Amino acid sequence: MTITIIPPGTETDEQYHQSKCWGSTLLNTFIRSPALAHRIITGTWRQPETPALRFGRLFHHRMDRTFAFDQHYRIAPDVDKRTKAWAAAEEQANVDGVVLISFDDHQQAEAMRASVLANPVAASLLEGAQQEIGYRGSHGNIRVQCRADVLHQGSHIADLKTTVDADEFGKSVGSYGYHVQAAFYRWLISHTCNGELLPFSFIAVEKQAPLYRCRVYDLDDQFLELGQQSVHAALDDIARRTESGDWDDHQDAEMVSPPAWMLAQVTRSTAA
Amino acid sequence: MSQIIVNISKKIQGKSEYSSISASCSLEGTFLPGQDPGNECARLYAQAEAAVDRQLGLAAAQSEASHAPTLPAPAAPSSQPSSSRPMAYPSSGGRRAPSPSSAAQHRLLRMLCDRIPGAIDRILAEHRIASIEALSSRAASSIIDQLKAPAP
Repeated sequence: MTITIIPPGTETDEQYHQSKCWGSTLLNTFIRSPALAHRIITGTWRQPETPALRFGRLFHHRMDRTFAFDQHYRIAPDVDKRTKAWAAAEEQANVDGVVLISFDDHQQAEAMRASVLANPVAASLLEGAQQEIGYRGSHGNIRVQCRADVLHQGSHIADLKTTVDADEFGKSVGSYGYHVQAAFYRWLISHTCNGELLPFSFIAVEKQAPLYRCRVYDLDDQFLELGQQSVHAALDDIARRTESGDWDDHQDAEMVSPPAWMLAQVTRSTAA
Repeated sequence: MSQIIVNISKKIQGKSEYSSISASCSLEGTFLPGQDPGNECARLYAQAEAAVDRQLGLAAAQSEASHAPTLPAPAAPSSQPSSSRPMAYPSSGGRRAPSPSSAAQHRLLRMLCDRIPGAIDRILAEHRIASIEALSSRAASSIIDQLKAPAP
């Protein structure tokens, strides 16, 4: 596979996400619903912008050393959003082409950043790393892309995640398909480093005051293997559906079983 | 030049009640006049034992149980860190094996050890492991904390 490297700052978030390429978020959407993924990639549906998505983007920008944060964001006065002062600040921000962020959001992003930098393992992953480098290529007829939050060329990949509870990150991995993301990034980036699958870490930081705890997680081989299988199964399925034009969701009836963590929880509580 | 041969073997209980699993390792080494044979012996034993423990799935459990390392004095900074995949640990004896250290921890450990001559060798010897990948997550955390602490 020939990979095009997209240096930081070359594309805006909007341009990157509208490239008609399959990224890890879209792959995860496809695994849940091929029909929805198809509507997103063809541009007939745009995921609604939520406050959580906006804050996630703000935090990523704050963590990106190469991003000119002050040129893109303006901190609003510490006033209620219903006041005239806020409305005036918002109007001026629109005129100046910058994003107005609340004082509280700014404080929260700063506290989270400080927490990440205070974690020695997280800080060492960020130290000397390249940030927000994009990779784009073609797998058969499917165009694929990823953008690494943190990259040490030929050595390590890391991704920043905001979370509600850093201790429960393991559950988030399954819920949000982070194992699929890790496997997908490693696979795509391996094409630029002689096929070597680089170690991949998640830097998870809480959005909750007062501690904004930060933990670094690596997925074990079993999780990565699961992710890899999901990636390749999804890419094969996308290729088949692209050819057949059938993007309908699977609609059979299915059995639901309790997850292993729930079984363990019940076993513990009945034993106590 | 003199020769040293070390042998080590271990046997542990297998999965079924009356079964056992054993592993052994022999290593040969040499030492030159002026070198401390005791140190060379200790180094070879540590390597052999780490190989046997790894074979039996004991490495993480041992490094977990061992005491905190004595840390060397800080010195000059140096080279790039490297990283590799963490090893998989089978559980032993029905007890849950300690969580293995992560690639991110290995990266930081190497960065910190690069600044302290001999630090890696001392960690390996004190934890009786062949590489830092064999450390448990908790042991790696503890070493990182100590390596980061300012020298007295």
